[in-house]
Amino acid sequence: MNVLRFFHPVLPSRSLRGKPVKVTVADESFALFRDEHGRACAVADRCPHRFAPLSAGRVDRGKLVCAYHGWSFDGEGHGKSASQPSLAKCDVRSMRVVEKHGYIWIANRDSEDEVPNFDFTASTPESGKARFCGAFPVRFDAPLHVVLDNFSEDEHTPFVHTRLGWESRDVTSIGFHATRYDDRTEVHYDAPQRPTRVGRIFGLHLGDVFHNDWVTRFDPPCTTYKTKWVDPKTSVTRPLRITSPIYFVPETGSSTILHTFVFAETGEPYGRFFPLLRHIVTAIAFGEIWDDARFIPTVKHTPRSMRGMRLGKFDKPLVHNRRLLDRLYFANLDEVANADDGTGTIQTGS
Amino acid sequence: MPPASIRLDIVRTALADIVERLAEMPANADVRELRMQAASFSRVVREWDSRPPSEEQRAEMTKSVIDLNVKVMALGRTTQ
Repeated sequence: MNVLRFFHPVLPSRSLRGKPVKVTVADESFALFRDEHGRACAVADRCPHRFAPLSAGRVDRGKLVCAYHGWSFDGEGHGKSASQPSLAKCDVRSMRVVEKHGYIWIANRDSEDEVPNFDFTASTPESGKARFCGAFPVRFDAPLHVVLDNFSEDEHTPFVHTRLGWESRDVTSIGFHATRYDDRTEVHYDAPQRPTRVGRIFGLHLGDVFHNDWVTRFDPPCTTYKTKWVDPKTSVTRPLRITSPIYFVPETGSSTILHTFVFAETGEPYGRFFPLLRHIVTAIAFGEIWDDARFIPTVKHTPRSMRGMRLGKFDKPLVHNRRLLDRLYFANLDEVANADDGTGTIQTGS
Repeated sequence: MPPASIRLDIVRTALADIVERLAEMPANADVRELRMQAASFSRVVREWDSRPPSEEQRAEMTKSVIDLNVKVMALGRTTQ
């Protein structure tokens, strides 16, 4: 089943200007361009004439023009041959396109899916709702299942990351809880925040506890992380809380694009600094994702089957997420049957 | 407020990786243009060692590096 029955984020809006841009979702490529009204449009990146990539073309008065023989296409995919204007059946597949949260999202033309509102509830009445800080994509040179595995556990935190989370001497004092549902996985980690210069920016104190709670859903694959810091003596939550939905968009069989949207709740005195803070929070989120992207090629050949792996308690969400990925996203019943067979041998002891 | 170096560390790391990725791509006009952009950003960031940037310059550079990465990703797709 085509994964584009769901809306996927594919490109920051500001990255689409006068030239067409190629994006790829699950090995299907699309040419994005802006029509004469400035609306973002997406069509299959293959001219029906001789299959030239339309993204290599240009935009002329809101029409996408093929670089090879000048065929032109509107945002609905209606095509016309330059040299044979009466030629029939020149259309190309077009997509539903929505611009929201500073991003371009695409889905199949007949999709009934909607782009999420990201209307996050405030943690406390005084903190106010989470406000948008920024969004960015980062490519991971690894298949979707490898990237999703990485973002299904925090056990790697002290080894792959250097700012948020705990350091290696605290690995045995991690608080962890995971709940598996039919449509999602919910995970909680807490551990002492490592000493970091980030602490000064975020108003943290030495000894504060880092809390990371997340929910992973598969319509399409997206994990929403909620990060906060708590004073262990008073249980008071520090004023800055970060919420980050991360979309895992398979590009090809060997690459995945992560599109991260960063929101922050800022209790006083941070609220008044929000215009400045939003840039800092976005940069730090970018740095964290970049850390993962640098490491992931090291494990890019991890097989789809988990057979033979010596998994521990922190890996339980990975196993469940793999199943949900196959069942809910790829809607692949054969894969589910195989996964059930394969994962039957997994050891997930604590 | 915040020490500059956290974001500078992030920007420096990302820029170094982007420069490396661009170096691995076969040279054409688009790749050359992005290499020049990356080199120009790297020069600016190096100068910040001796002359700290303003808050606006830091924010703008972070945004520019994120945007440069998007362009490099797009270029990677077209050369696939």
